[in-house]
Parts: sequence; structure tokens; C-alpha cells
Amino acid sequence: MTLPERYFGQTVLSWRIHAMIFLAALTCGCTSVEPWQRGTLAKEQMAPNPHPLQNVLRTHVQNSREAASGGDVAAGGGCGCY
Amino acid sequence: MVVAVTEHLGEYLGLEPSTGKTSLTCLTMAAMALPGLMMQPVCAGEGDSVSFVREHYSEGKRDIGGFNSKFQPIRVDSILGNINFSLDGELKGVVTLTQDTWSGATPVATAPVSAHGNRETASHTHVMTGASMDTSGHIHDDEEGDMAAPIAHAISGASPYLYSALKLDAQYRPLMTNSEGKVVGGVDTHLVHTLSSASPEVRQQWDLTISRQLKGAKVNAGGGFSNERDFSSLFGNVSGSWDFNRKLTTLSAGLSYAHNKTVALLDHDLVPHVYEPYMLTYERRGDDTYNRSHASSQLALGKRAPTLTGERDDWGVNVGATQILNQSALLETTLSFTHSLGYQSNPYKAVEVAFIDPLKQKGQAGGNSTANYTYDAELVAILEQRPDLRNQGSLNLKYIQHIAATDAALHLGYRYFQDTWSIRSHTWDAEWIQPLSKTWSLTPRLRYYSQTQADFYTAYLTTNQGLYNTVTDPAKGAIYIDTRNTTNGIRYYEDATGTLAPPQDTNPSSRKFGQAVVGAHGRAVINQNTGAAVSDQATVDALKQDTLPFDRTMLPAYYSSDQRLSGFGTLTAGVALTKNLGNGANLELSYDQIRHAGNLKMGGGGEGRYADFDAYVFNLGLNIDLDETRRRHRVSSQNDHSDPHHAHPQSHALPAPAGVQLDHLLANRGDMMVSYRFMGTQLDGNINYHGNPSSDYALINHACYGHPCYVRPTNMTMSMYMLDIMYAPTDWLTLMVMPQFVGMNMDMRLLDESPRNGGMDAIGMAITHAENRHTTSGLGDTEFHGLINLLRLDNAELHLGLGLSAPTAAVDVKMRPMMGNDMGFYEYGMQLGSGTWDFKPSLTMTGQTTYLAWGAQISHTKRLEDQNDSGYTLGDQFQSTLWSSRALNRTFSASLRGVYSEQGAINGAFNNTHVPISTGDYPQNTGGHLVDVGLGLAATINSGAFAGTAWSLEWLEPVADRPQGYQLERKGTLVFNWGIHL
Repeated sequence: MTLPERYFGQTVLSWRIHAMIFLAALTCGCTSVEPWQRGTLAKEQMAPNPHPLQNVLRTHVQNSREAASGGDVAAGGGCGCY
Repeated sequence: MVVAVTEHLGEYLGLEPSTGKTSLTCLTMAAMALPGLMMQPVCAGEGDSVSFVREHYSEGKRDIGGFNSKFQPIRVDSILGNINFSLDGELKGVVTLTQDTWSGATPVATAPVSAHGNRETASHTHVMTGASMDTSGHIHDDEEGDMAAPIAHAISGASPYLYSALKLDAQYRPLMTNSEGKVVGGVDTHLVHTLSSASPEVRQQWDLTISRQLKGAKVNAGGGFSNERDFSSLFGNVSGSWDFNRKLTTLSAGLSYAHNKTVALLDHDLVPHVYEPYMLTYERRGDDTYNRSHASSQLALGKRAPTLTGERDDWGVNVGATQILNQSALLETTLSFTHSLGYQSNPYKAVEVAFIDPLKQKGQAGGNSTANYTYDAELVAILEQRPDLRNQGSLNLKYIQHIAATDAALHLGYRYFQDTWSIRSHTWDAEWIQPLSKTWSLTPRLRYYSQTQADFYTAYLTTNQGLYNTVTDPAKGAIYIDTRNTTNGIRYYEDATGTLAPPQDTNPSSRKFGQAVVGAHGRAVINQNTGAAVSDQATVDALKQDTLPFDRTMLPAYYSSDQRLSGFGTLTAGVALTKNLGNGANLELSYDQIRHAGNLKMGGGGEGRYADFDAYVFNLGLNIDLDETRRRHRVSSQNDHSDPHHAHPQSHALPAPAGVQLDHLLANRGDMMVSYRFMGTQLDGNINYHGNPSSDYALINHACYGHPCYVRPTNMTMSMYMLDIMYAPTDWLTLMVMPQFVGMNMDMRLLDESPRNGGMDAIGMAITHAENRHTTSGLGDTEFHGLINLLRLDNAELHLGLGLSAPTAAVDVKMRPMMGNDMGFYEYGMQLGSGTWDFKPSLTMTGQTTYLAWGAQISHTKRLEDQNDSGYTLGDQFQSTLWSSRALNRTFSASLRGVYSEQGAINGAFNNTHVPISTGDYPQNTGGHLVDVGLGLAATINSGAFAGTAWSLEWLEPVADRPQGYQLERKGTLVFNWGIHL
């Protein structure tokens, strides 16, 4: 197992797939929503992080008990040595 | 902060800021922060706000192979405080302080059940019988070092048991053995974690982020640091977001960097069991670069224990997009990538290796000829080794759909994660946010997480070599070294061609043959470096066959048994409740139950049941919207002007000094106030007795009452963080609830001429350990008060306070066991509360003229129980205080205060193991009479960003302390208080 293989093999291949999903999401056929039609979207329950206070600490503990992280709120540091 | 996307959506909608709060700012923040890199986006609102959060995480007991572990499972107590503020219209800042305390027992390694790694301390004296201890026996023969004793001790009786023996069948499967190492059954492949307790670990993190709003874009820059005893991290990030497509689309990107440093004093309970420190300390042959692929870590000899240092750099990038799909749905995607290079191992985790020495197997000279098994293995723990490089990538998708029927919102999230350690993970989560009324909202939620194991994860390793192997040259035979000097590089061998002499005598000094000095086999001994025969008998007598530690290249390049790198799944179900308290205050409560199990892994094949555990998280958060408070404050000020007789005395009264509690009632029914108070007390300098400094001699002989004192405290800090929530159901009664978080640090030193300075028993270990700072922290006692107005005049008022303090704090904080010794409780002063229900009455009178305010208060603390769960009670307390404040201008005022307090000594004593070595371990050295003079400064802000808030600071200087017994001198107390009328 050499380093470049790990770097450019499997990982990048699957990343292409993800990049495609990402771009697809970007360019999806969305209907136009005028500013005055965005009342529902502005409701508190529609906020992407509706419980921001608890999520910070909850995610910190989560990240120190699981290997995967990323794409989520995380604390700036900590050994997580426990 | 990370990236704000459609932050100003609210503006587009023409909504009031308060309605649009918790807006889409958090959307990408939440989605795009990278672990260990990004700032904590606490985005309670777009406007100015203050938040407090408290969380408790607790794991259930694990199955440790039928042994009843006395260890507490892992617990985490966290608090978070956060301020969002505007610097001007476009520039905003967020400051966050996070503190968490980890405690409990954690797995240090994994071993077959037959290794009996968690057996109880009392029943292990014969543990090593039959184990091939002689492979490394020469370590113990070396009596030169003072370290020989700890090893011998460790092997006979420390906890946890990482050093053991295994009997294997022909397929290298472990056989069931009893605690004496005898095979008593068939193949038993069950595994178990070896648990070790750890001292509480406190981590503090500070974050600051500044963001600037530009036209159609936003830029952020932030940084901070995180600190704990053995790990520090410094981090920074920049990010931006841009709106497109009439703000239907927002793109964002961020870059972050973190530098992490580990300086871990290897665990004193682990050092004697883990091979590398052994080798380094006793053999001095170890390569001190611990990770071989990259010079990121070093294992160095410390004064008492080996220290493992390592550094790591993390770089993170992310890009994201948020798309409004239609009037009731939006989609968010984020791609993140993290590159980490450097030391990534966990300094406290070890991997068990079963060494099968070919020379010591059945049929070999060193083997057991009647064995009822195939292989005899020595089980030794070595420090884990992870690659220095780790690249991680993740893709996040979040879809949010409004459900018109019930006005709820459905949040669906998915994350794919992959790294170069071959870990792949999938996470799905769903939340149903259901508003129940204008102020209540209920959110049931589910989360499923699954990960594959890292390619170097292994429960334990097996290798076909001895831990130590004798060195033999094909031509010269056995190679010898001089035990008097093993590091001079000289090797010897016996001259196989020389004359064989018959052994004449077992006494080495007379073992001579002719003129030549000969070795044990009667042959001449040759110095390999010079080629000359050795003519000095003393050298020959000092020779022994050279041994080398095992060959690392026969092990995999990387190995770790850290459970977090194994294959498993977690299922989390929880519920969150949100209540808008009105006046801009929001309360959040949540509870989640977590199941962590190998068989929950997607597709099966996860780690065995031994690694399963349950856990729960409880979370309580309070957010105060300062914009809302400000708006109300403006309204109320206007009302005041229009109606001068409408009484709002409190909003214009000069605030009491910061250290005075329970000083005022809220003026009007329905009023609410929230305050945050920090109180820090410092003690250092002399230990006084009857007002005179005590010499070390006096402390040794008198301060520990019939026992010698061995060490003394040199420095102690006590910190208390208190939240004070006040509510007035009527105008003559104010109810208060005051939860607290407390933390204590104490440094000690050995007394000059102390009768002991260490040793292997509990007292000796405690003395040795006193070199390390003692730290405790956690939830304090929770107080409830009712203030009842007795008299209200134009310029004075009198009120009675009736309070109850609930024993929510721990009074059983213990030191972790050391070398198998139960170390018992920490000092009385390091316990976090009283442990008893306490009655706290008070009487307060305050008065005010135009520029001057004054007050007087007496208060009492009466313990309502005879003893707490740990067997003692704190003494009752009485306090009186008198103060006066003067307005300096419309905003500021200064105060002068006198405080007299009287505290009784502790009654009773610890009812369980306690190892007294210091003045703080004796109840006789508690209580006394204290007099302080306080100088304070206070500010009441009536306009601007912080309108409606009061700030005060007070320094209390001890002027005439008369403590009982021998106590460390008080240096002073700093009190900071911040309050806001809602």
C-alpha cells in the first residue's frame, strides 16, 4: 500500500460521484420563488439548524465517540483521548 | 464563522428581525464546519444575543467479561457561554467559551477474556504464575536502577492488567483459562475491553469570530484555542459566501487550519504495563521517534514517567451550496475535505500483542512438555501506532420540507464520509419540528450512524517471536554482553575452536583452566570488537547472553484497538422541547438516548458485543435575544418619561456590588431578569496558624493531628459560574433559581524534611501524585430562593429571603486508583458542593438617594442533614455585609463594602477510603472568621447595543482572617456580574 494509491485511487474515484451529486443538486430544476413568496421558508422550524445551542455540544461529544465527522458543527479542538 | 448563506433572507421577506431569527445563517455554518478546525457556530440569532448551555453525557456500564468493575463509566459535563454582538451595522462578532470535564473509566486495550484484564485487585497475586516472565527477567535482575521496584510491583498487582499470558490452540485461537493461567476449557474467542479509570480531564476552549456583511456577500474570519492538561489546539479560519440567482442560490467556501500539540505524561498506571516506556526506561534501546513514518512524535524520558509528545497540522477546505427549491422546501449540499499530517495516535491507548516465542513452546527446551495446548503466548501491551497522514472527505445533504397540514418542518439529512484509513461511514438523520403553540415547539428526532473499521484496526495482535530474543551469530554462536555496561557496544563470543575445558567447579572465581580465562562453557571468551581473548575474569563473570527486543517489522506497520476505529453503528432517538419564555428569552431542553453496537453496523460484521454500550445526552440551553430586550427597554424608558410616578425603581437603582446576592426584588409582576456571575477565589502563600506563618517543621508535626503531614498546598483557585434566573409572579415576591458550575485547582509541594517522599503504598503514591495539580470541576449545588418584600418606601426597602440549596454537586470526587491502590477522595475543599440540603435565609435592606445607595444584609446557611453521602457536613455559615455605592456619572458607579463571615468547621469525616497527606485532608483545618473589604465598579447601560444590561466587578481583599487550624492564606476574590432585565 503506497501513499499515492491511497491518495488518488479509491478516494478520488468516489469523490467524482459525490461531485456529480453536488453539481446535480446545484443545477436542479428549481421553480422561481419570489421574495414575497418566502414566508414559509423563513419560519423558525424551517431553519436548517433549529436547535443551534444544543447542537454544538452534542456534536462535540458525537465527534469524540465516532470516527467520522465533517459537514457538521464541531468544536475547535480537544484530544478526545477518553 | 464558517459561512453564512441566505442570512438576509429575512430582510427580503420584510420580516421583523425577531421572527426571522435562527435564520439561514446557521444553515451552512452547521453544515460546513470541519471537525477540529472550524469555529463553533453558535448561531442563536442574527442579532445580538447571549446564550448559556449545559450538557451532560453519560455512558452505561460495559460488559467486561463478567467482572464487576468498580469504575464509573464515562461522563462528560459541559458548559458553554456565548455572546453575539454588533460592532457596527456590518461588522459582527461572536465570542464563545466552552468547558468540558471528562471523567470515568475508558478502554485502554482489548484482549481475549482469558487474559483476565479486568480482574479485581484483591484476587490477582498469583496472576503471573506460569507466565513466561523470565523472557524479560533480566529487567528485574538489573538492580542498579531505582525503577526495578515499580516494575516488580506492577506485575504482581496493578490495575488494569495489560500484561498477561494466553494459551492458544493450533489455529492461534485463545483457550479458556482460569485466573492462574491453567487451561480449563476449549476455544474461547470472546474479547473484552481492559478498562482503566482516568483522572477528570478539563478542557477549555475560546473562540472569536468576526464577520462582515458586504453587498450580496459575507466574509468571516475567526480563531481560537483549546486547552487541556495534555493537549492544546490553536486554530483559525476564513470563509465567505455569495448570493446568486436573486438569492435563490448561495455558494460558500471556507479554509481552515489547526495546529495541535499533545504532551502526554504517560499514565502512571499504564507505564509499567505498556512495553515502549519499559524499553525506553529500562533498556534505553528504544528509538525515541515513536511513530516511524514521520518524525511527528517522540517518547522521551521524563523525571517520573515517559512523556509522549506529538504535533499535528490540519488543513480543511469546504464548498457548499444552498438552493431554495420552491416555496416550502430547500436543499443544502456541502463538500468538505480535511488533510491531517502528524501525530494522530491516542497516547493512552494500547494494543495487546501475543508474543509466541518459538524457543519456549512445547517440545522446545524452554517450553512446557506436558502442555494441553499448542502455543504459549506472552501478552504484552504496546502503544498504538496510527499513520501520520489522514485525509478525510465528506458529503453532506440536507433537505428541509414544510408540512402545511400541521405547520411542521421535516428535516432530512444524509452524510457520506470516507478517509484514507479506509473508514467509510453513512449517517442519516430525521427531525420533525412541530410548533405546538406560539411559544412551545416539540421535536422528535432519529439518527442512524454506521462506520466501517480502519484498515489498521485490530482487537489484538499475534506474532511468532518472543518479546525478547537472544542474539545468536550463525558462525560464532551465542553473543554476550557485559551486564556492567550494556551500552558500550562491545559484544563477546566464546571461541568455539578453543580447547574445551571440563568444568571443575561451580564457583566462577575458581573456574580457570591453564593460563586462559574461560567462559561458562570452558572456552576462551573473545571480544568481538578487538578479536582478542578476554583475560579479565571479572568481565567474563559479568557476561550474559545478549537479548534484543522483538522485531517490529514482524508487526503490521500500524495498529490500534481504539473502539472508535472499529466497525459499529449507533442509533439515537431523542426529543427536544423549545419554550419561548417571552421577553426575548428562549429555553431549549433535549434528551437523546444512544445505542452503540457492533451489530448495528450497516451490512453486519461490526465489532463484537463486548464493545456495545448505551449512553444518553441531556441538554439545557437558554438564549436571550438582546435586540428584543433593547426594544422593550426603549419602550419602558419612554413609558417612564411619560409617567414619572410609574414605579420602576430597579431599572434606575444603582446596582449593588457584584458580590452581593439576593439584593433586590423585581419591581413589577411578570418581570424577569437573568444574571451571570463569576466568582474566583485565590489562595496562596503561607499556611497560617493563629495568624502566624507555619514552618514546614510545624506542619509536619502538628498540622495533621497525630499523623505527619507530608505535603502542603501552595496554591488553590476556586471558580464558580452561576446563572441566576429571577421571575416575579407578583410585585411583592421574586422567585430565583441559581444553577452553578464550579471548578477547583490545587497545587502542592513536598514539605522540607517530610518523613516520606513517595513509596508504593497508597500514602506513598498520594505523595508522589501530589506533584501533579489536583483538578475537579462539575455541576455545583443548585439554589432556590424566594424574596419577600417586607417594606417598600420611596427610597428604601426591606426584604426577607428564604432559600434552599439542593445537593446537586458531587461530594464524592475521587482520585483514580494508582498502581492498584485505591486513592480515595480528594481533599474536602476540592469537593464540588455541600452534599446536604441547606436552608439559606437572609434579610436585606437597601436605600438610595440621588447619587448614593447603601445596603445591609445578613445571611445564614443551615445544613439540614447530619451528614452527606460521603459522611460529613460542612459547617453552618453566617455572613453580614454592609455597602455603599456612589454614582460617578449616568452610567458608572463605585462601591465600598465590608463583609464579615463566620463558617463552622466540617463535622464528621469521609466515610470511605481517603488517603490523608496534607492539611486539607483534616476537618480540623476548616472554618473560621473572615473579614473582607470590597472595592467595586458597576455600569448600568441605558442605550446602545447593551441597553438594559448591568455590569459589575468587585475585588474582595481579605483584611483580618482568623481561620481555624492550619489553612492556606486567602489572597482575594474577584466577582464579575452581568445582568439583563427581560
